[in-house]
Amino acid sequence: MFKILFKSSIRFFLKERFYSTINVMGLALGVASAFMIAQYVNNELSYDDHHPDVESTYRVNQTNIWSPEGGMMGSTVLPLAEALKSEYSQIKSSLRINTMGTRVIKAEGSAESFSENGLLAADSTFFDFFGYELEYGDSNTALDKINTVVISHDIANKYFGDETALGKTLLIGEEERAVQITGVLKKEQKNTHFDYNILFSIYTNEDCKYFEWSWIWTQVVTYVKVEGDIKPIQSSLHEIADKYAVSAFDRLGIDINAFEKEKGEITFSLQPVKDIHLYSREIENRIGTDGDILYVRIFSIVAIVILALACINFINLSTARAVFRAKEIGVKKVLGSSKQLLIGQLLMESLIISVIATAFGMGFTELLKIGMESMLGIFIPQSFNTQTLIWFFLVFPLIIGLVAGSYPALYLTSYRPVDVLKGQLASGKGGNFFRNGLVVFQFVIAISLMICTMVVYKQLTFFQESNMGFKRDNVVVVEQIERLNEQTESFVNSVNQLSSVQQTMISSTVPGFGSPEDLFAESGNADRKVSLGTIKINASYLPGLDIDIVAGRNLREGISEPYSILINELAAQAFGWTPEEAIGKQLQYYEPVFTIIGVVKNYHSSPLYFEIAPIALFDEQAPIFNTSKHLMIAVDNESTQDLIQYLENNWKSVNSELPFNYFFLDERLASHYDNESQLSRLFIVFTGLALLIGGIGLFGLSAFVASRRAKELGVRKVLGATVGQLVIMVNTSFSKLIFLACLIAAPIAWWLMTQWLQNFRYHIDMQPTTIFSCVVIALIFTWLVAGYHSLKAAITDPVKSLRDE
Amino acid sequence: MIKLKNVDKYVDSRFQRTFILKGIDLEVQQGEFVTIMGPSGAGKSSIMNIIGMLDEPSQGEYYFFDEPVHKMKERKKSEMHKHYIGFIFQAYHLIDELTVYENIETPLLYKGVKGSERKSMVAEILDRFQMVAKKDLFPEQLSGGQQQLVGVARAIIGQPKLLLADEPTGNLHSEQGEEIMDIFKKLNEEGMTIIQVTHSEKNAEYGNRTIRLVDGAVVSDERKEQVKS
Repeated sequence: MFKILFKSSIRFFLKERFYSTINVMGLALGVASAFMIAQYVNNELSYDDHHPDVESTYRVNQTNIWSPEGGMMGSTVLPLAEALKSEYSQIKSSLRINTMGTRVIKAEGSAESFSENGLLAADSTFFDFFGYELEYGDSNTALDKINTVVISHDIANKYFGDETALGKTLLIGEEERAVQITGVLKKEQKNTHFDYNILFSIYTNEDCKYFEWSWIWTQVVTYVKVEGDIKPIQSSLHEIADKYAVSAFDRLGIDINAFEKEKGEITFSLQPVKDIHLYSREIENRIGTDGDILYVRIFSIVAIVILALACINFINLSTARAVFRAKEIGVKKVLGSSKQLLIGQLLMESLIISVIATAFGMGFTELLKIGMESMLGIFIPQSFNTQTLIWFFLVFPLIIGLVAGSYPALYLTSYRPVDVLKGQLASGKGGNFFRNGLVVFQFVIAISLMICTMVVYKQLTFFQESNMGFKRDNVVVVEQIERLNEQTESFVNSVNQLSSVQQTMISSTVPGFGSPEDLFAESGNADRKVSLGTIKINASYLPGLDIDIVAGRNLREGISEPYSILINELAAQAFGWTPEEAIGKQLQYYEPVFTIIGVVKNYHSSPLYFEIAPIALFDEQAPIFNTSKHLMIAVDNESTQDLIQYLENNWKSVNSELPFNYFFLDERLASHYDNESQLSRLFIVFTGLALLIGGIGLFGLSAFVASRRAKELGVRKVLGATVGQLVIMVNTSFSKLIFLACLIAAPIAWWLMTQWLQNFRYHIDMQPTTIFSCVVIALIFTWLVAGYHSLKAAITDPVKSLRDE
Repeated sequence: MIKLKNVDKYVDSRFQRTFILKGIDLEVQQGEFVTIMGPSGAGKSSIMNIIGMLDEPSQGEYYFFDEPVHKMKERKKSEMHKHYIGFIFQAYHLIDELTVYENIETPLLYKGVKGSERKSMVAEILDRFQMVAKKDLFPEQLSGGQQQLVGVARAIIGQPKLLLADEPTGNLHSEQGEEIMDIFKKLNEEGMTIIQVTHSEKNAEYGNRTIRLVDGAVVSDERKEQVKS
C-alpha cells in the first residue's frame, strides 16, 4: 500500500514538473532564509554562556559622567573593585579589564614591529571569570606577575611563526618594555562580549598603578562574582561614591557634590554578564561591540514570516491545482479508500516536497551565506553542532510538510466524489477568496519589507552623505604622528612639499569622531560651568576643513598662541553670549585661563547619532590634556594611490620602525554607520527573498488562472477582443490584489519606520513618495510576473482552447 | 438485494424545489442485469449514484441486502464500496499516475488482500482480458476501448456483488462497445448483478430487465422472459 502511494506521489510530482519545481524552489528559499537567520540568532544567543559560574558574574556599570546626555557606561574606575569587595561580603572576587589602546610591538630580536590596537590588560582573576582556553601556559598563574602577557594563536603565529611563543619576550611601545609571554590562547574561542588578541597583566600598564586612587579615570571594566541575591547590593550601590570617592576628588581639588551636580550622580549597577551582548543598547561597551536583542527579534520574525510566505505558496498552488487532483481522489474514494488514507497520501506528498525543499534549502543557505559574505561583507558563523543539524533536518520538513500540507489535504478530500466525477467541481468562490487572501498576505509582507528597506537605506545614505559642516572628501588622515617625536615636524614638512597636497592640518582628534570633554568655567564666575569638547588644532585646520568663523579670528599661522581658544556657536550660547560678545571672554580650566579669540559655526564633531555638542578649539601647544596628533591632508582628486605611496615612503625615511597607519576621512566617517549599513543590506537580502517567493507563487498562480480561463479567453477572442485587452483583463485581477496589499502594508510600514527613525537624533522624514514608489515597483513586478502567462494564454489560437476533448 | 422505497431526490433553490427523482420504488434481485434508459435529464445518473452510495436520497429509504443505507456512516459506505460494489464510468476514470497493473490492483490494496494473492488475482484478470502485454503502460498510452477494459477489470477484480456501469460504452465505437457488453453478459451469467445506464437499445438487449425513466419517475419496467433454458 505504502509503496504504491509513494510511487503515485512521485509520478504525480514528475508529471507536474512545473508546479512541483515552483513548490520546491519556493519552499527551499523559505527554508534557506529561515535556516540562515536561525544560524544568526543562535550565534547571537550563544554569547557568554560558557564562562565558569556565569550565572553569578556581573559587570558593574556606572553612570556616564562623560556624556551630557547621561545614561550608563560599562567603564568604571580602578578602585571600585576593592571598594565593592570591602563593602559587600557577598562579593568575593573581582576582575578589572583595562583598555591600553594601541601600541607598537615587536618580538625581541626581530627588526619588524607592528602597531597593535585593542590591547587589554586584566587582573590575574581573568581566567576565573572568563572561559578562555589556553593552548600553552597555565591559566591559573599566567597574569599573576607584572610584565606578562597572554596572546592569541594568530598573534603567536604573526610574531613567531612556527616557533613556540610561550616564554618568549615582546617589546612594547617606544620604550621597548620587555614583557614575557605566559600563555597562548587556543585558536577557536567561543563568543564573548569582548575581543582581544593581546592581554597583559593589569599593572604592566603603568597607568593602572598611577591612577589606582582616581575616581574619574574611567578606563577599566569591572566584573564581580556575587554570592546569593544581588538586590540588596543593587539598591545600595549609590552610596559607594559618597563613601569612597570623596578623598580622591579632594586630591584633585574638586568638590564631589559640585561635580555630581554638573555631570550627574555617580552611581553603579550590576548587569549579568550573560545579558551584556544583547541587552546593552544604552550602555557603552569599551572592549567590544554588542549586538542588540531588537535585531535578534526582528530577524526571528522575518524568518518566520518568510517561511510562512513559502508555506502559503505551497498551500495556494496545491489548492489551486485541486481540480486536476480531484479526479484521482474521487476515483479512489469510489474504489473504497477511506478519507484518512487519502489525507495520509496527500500529506506524504507534501512531506516529500518539504524534504526535498529542506535539502535544497540547506544548500541554498550555504550559497546565500557565501554570497552575503563576498558581496555584502556579512559573515554568519555556522553555530549549530552536527546533532542539532540532524535534528533540524529530520524535524523541520515534518513540521513544514504538515503545516503546508494539511489545508490542501483537507480541502481536496472534502469533495464529494460524485461531483468530482461528473466534472462539476465547483471552482468554489470560498476557495478563491481564501487563495486571494493568502496572496494579499504575502504581498503585504513583501511590500512592507520593501518600504522598510527603502527607509533604512535612505537613512543610511543620509548618515553617510549628509553635510556634517566640514569638508571630508579627499582628505587622507595619517594617524598619531606624535609617535615620530622630534621628527614629527620634518615629516609634516616633507608632506607639504608634495605637489598633490593642497593643505595639511593637525588636530588632536579627527573631526566626526567626538572629542574628550571636560568642564570649563567662565573666568571670575566659577559657578558658570559648561562641559566642552576639547580639540587641539593648528591654524590651517579651520580653513582646510571649510569651517567658517562667525566672529573673531582664527589662530595665527606660525605663531604659537597656547592661551587663545575658539569655541563654537553652541558653546557661546551655553555661556549665554552672542558670538560677538564671546570674543575676549576668558574660560578657566583648573589653573590655566584661555581667552576666546573666535567663534566658529557649529559642525558635527561627533557621529550623527549625537546632537552637536559645545566645543572649544585650542592651539597645538595649549597646556591641556591629549597629546595625540593626527595629520589630515587635503589632496587633489587624482593619484591618491601614488600619494599614499609617497606618504609611506616619507614616513619610513623618517622612522623605519614605526608602522604607517592612514585612512580616508570620508570612508572612516561612513564606517560609523556600519550597523545601519549592515541592517540595510540584510533588509535588501530578505526583501529580495520575500519578493522572489511571492513572485514564484504569483507566477504559478497566474499559470493556473490562465489555464482555467483559457476557454473564456478563447470565446472573448472570437468575439473580437485584442490580445492587449485580454492581458490587461487577466492582470487587472492580480493588480487589484497587489493594490489591496499596498493599502494594508503602507500604514504598517509607515508606523514601524516612524518608530525606528525616532531612535536617531538626526533622521530623514517619512515621505509619501517612498511608499508611492514601492507601490509602483510592486505593481510593475506583478505585471511582469503574471504577464508572462496571461500573454501566453491571450495569444493562444482560440481553436485550440475551444476544442472540446 | 436492492430495495428503494419512495425515493425522492431534489434540489432546493430559493423559490422552488426541483425534483430530479420522485417517488421511485425499485427492487432488484441478485443476479439481475438491469438496464436503465431514458432521455437526458431523466435522472438516470442520479439513481445510479444513489444505488452506488455516492449520493444520498433527499427522501425515502434504501436497503442494500436489507441494511438501511440511508442510515449508514461514511466509513461504512466506504466498506460497502470495497466489498460489494464495482463502478464503471463513461469517462473510464483511471488514475493517470498508475500503470494498468497498478490501476487494477488498487481496489485489492484497499481491501487488504495479501501480496501473493493479489499478484495472482491481477495476473488472472489480465490474462482473461488479454492485456498482459499492456500491464506496464499508463492509461494515456491506451486506446479508449482498452482503457475501458482496464476500467472493467478494476471494477470486477474485487468480486463485487453489484456492478454499476454508467454509459460504459458511451465513449467507444461500436466494435469496442460490443466487446465490453459481451463481457457484461458473461459476468451476469456467472452470477453478478449488473445495473447499467445506456442510450442504446442494442446494449439494453444484453440485459434481462429494462427500466425507463422520464422526468424522475419510472414509466415502464419490462422483464425479458428467459426464452432459453
